Formats: sequence, C-alpha cells, structure tokens
Amino acid sequence: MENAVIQLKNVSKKYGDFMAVNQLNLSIQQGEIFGLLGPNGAGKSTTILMLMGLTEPCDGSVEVCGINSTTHPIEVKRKVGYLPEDVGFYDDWSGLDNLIYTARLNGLEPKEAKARAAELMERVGLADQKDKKTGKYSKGMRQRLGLADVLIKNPDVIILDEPTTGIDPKGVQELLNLIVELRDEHQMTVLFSSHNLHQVQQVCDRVGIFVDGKLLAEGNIEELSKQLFTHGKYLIELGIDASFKNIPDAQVLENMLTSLEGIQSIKKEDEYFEIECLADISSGIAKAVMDADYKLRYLNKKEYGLDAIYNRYFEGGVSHA
Amino acid sequence: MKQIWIITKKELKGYFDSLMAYILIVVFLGLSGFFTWLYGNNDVFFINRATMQPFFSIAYWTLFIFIPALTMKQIAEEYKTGTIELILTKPISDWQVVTGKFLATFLLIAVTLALTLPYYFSIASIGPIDHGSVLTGYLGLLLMSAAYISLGIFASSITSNQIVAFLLALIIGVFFQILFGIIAGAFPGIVGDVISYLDMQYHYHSIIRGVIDSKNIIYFASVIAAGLMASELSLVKRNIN
Repeated sequence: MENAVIQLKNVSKKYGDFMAVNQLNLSIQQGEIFGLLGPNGAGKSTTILMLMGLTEPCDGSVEVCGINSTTHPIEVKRKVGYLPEDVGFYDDWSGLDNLIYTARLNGLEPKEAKARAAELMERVGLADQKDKKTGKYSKGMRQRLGLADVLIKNPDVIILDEPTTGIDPKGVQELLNLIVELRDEHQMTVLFSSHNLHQVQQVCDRVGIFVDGKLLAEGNIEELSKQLFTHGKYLIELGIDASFKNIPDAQVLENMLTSLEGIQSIKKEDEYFEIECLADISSGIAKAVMDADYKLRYLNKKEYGLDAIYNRYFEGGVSHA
Repeated sequence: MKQIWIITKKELKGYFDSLMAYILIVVFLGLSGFFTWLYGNNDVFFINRATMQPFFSIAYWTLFIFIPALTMKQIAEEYKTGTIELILTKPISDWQVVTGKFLATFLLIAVTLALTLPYYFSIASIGPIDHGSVLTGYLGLLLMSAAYISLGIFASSITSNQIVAFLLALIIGVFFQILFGIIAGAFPGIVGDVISYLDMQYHYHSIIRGVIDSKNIIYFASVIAAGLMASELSLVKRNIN
C-alpha cells in the first residue's frame, strides 16, 4: 500500500436518501491502470467527483497522491487530469488555442504553454488539425484533444470517464494504445471508468465492480475468475466417438483425463465431456483422446473473461449483500 | 490572481470576438449622447447648466438593460457547451472563475464609461461644472454596474439557457431598480425601512448628488458580494449534481 496513489477509506456519499457510494475502500497503485465497471447510477461518477474534490464525501477519506481531495481540491487538481465522456471545448477557437488556454489555467507561462500545446497536438496526432476550430472536430478528434488537455499538466493520475463513447473502432484502439503507452512511458496511474468490458479487459491491470454504491469485487481478471468460478478459469467441452470401442461409454478416457494436471472437475454424459480446469490444457486433453484410441469429434475451449465475471454480478449469480 | 486574470482576458476577448463589446459601446454612446445633448427635454441645453446629470440619469437606465445582456452567457454558455467541466477540473477555485468573469464585464463597462469622458470635457468647457459630483456620478455608475453584473452572473449560473438567464437577471434587477422602492411605501416602520434600504435608486442618487456615505458604499459592496457568493454557491451545487 505504500505506493498507493489513490486511496479511499470507508467513503460514503449520500444525496438525500439515496446512497450513491457506500463504505468504499479502494487502493490504486502507481503505474496501474484500474478499470471501474458498473451500470449507470452505480456510484462511479460520484467516486470520480470525490477524487477530483468536486464533491465532498459524507464519511471517510479520499486521498490522491497523499493529498486529501476534500480539504485540498486545488492541489489535487494540479496532479490529476480528467477526461469526461463528452469533453467540451470552445467551438469557435482552434484546437491549439483551446489547449493553450487550459495550459495557462494549469499554471503554465505563456511561452511554455504554447510549446507544450504544440508538442501535445503532435503527440495525440492532431498536428495537422491544430488550427482548425474545435466546432469542426469529429468526436474522436475531440477526445484526442481532451487527452492532450489532460496531459498538458504532466499529471500523476489520469481519470477517464467513458472516454471512448461515440468513437469509431479504429479511434478507440488508437486511444487505448495511447493510454497504455502513456502509462508505460511515464508510470502514470490511470483510472478508467467504462461500460465496455472488452476495452477494460484489454487495457486494465485490475478492475473494480460497482453495484448500488458498493464495490463488490476488485482484482485482476484471473483473481476475479478464481473467486467466482471456483472450479477453474477454463471450461473445455469435449465430444468423442466411442461407438466402435469395446467399452462404448468412454470410461477409460474419463480415467485418463482425471489424471491430467490442472483438471478441477469432469462432467460426463455418454460421449460428451464438460471439463473445468485451472489452465488451458486442451492440447493435453486432445492427446489423451488419441492415446485412448477414441475419435475426436470436437474440442471447444471457453475462457471465463470479464464479460462472464460481469454477468455473474449483474445477472444474479453473486449476491450483492 | 493570475488565474483570475487569465479568465478575465478570455472573457474580454469573447466580448470583442462576438461583436458584443462593439455593439454595447456604440449603442450606449449613441443613446447616452442623444439624451445628454439632443433630446430637447432635460438635456444639457434644455437645463441650460453645465451638468452631467442628464448623462447619469440615462446611463443608469441604459446599463440596467445592457448588463443582463452582457452577463447572460457568462456561465450559462459554459454549462451548455460542457466547457464548465473543462474549467472546473483545472487547479482553480469556483471563486476565481466567478471573479474572473465578473471582472471582464466590469472592465468592459468601465471602458465604455471612460469613452463618455469627452462629454465631461465638453460640458466643462462651456460652463462651470461641479467636478466632485461628476466624479461621484461615475463612481455611482461603476458601483451600480458592479452590483448588476454580480446579480447577472448569478442568474447565468443557475441555468444553461441564456434567454432565461437574461430574463432572470432583468427580473432581479427590476426589484432593486423599481419594486423595492414601491413596496417599501406599503410597509410602515422598520420593515419598510429595510425594504427601502434595498432600493438601488436611492443609494445611486445619493452618490451622484456628490454624497459618498459609508451606508451607500456598504450597500453596493454587500449586493456585489452577495451576487458573487451566490454564483459561487450555484457552481458548487451544479458540480455536485
């Protein structure tokens, strides 16, 4: 915990009778990309607002880079860059002018602000469009400019709230690559709030699942899989043809499979096997089928990813209590 | 302070880029010039005295109408375009944002009023003029403008619709400009005195007569501070929502 850049301890936030965030404990380390997952109204945006010092928790403490966000919001805003879902810019100004203005608000001197803004327009791939008015920018270009705005202060922490909404697939991939590059280059800590499981799984080191103001689970995909799918991360479906064998119920094969390392459970129904295992041992299973002299009809491997984990939480597979 | 000035410069640039500043200056100078020199009834030649009183009377009413038009977009536009998030997530306080915007409009009004100084020199050249009352007259206009600017920014901070912000600022202004004076008459005793104290015309006319009373200064300072603080509070509430 000594390198925790974001630290929330027993944080609660109520709006009237509505509990937006309930006893939240969260710690995010330096250089980590952390994904915040959850449906609308789960408390993700309120958590972000509290991190930025834009709203105060009713209970608990919020610290970013060791600074209390509630009592020292300005200091926190010096260290945190925030990119919302739909970033607003002054439409009748050029992208470069918008960036110079925000650089100045971030405390950069005029000369430095101009140089840094030009450098970042290049970095996010908008050098050719820097003099174009932002009112004429596409959604993807606006988000890129938003990322440049986030980076202009050299932040220690970047908070991205649904940053890829409305961007085309190519633009999304470029934005995600850029985020990972920035983390790798500058060891920035990134908090990535999104509905898109695939994107979160693609870039995040760990994820937290929010429901009804509570953080139900946190960890990397493997840890969460282990918590939820206690019989293994992989499910392998095997179909064989045993009709020509003397022992047509394939009992021999079941015995052979049981002896394989990593097997957690085997369900057998005639010539169909459902095997749960900790690692991908599909090649070992195929070899066992051949060694036992059965014909392989099909071998289908399914890995429990973030979508399976998420569905377990949101489709009643896991108690919210 | 640096951040306030950055916002002030940006807002001033916005006024001039959108031609708003030019329109204000031209229309204000035209109207005030006409009523000061040419109207034929209560102008300088009609009164036949070297005085700036006709100018101060017309300027008071003209600014009352113009200021809501200047302040209506100050914060409402930022809400509408989403740029409020861009600003408030920077290392600046809500107070700095509100103050920066207030100063921009105040400077624009100050520049506009400075452009009427030739009226003063012209009138002074045709007869003996009470320089003290001219000075306090300008001071009264600046204080009254500052008060309406802070109220206008407040109106702009509670809506994302500029027209609503304009009308709201005008309605609040009507209370200070006209209604408090009328309502006060209906209430005898201390209630009437309190409502009467809120009447801006009373304080303005006290100042332009050449009397700088601490009571009047405290009144204007209070209205300005109340408007700015209410705007800041409104921004904080908006953040939460």
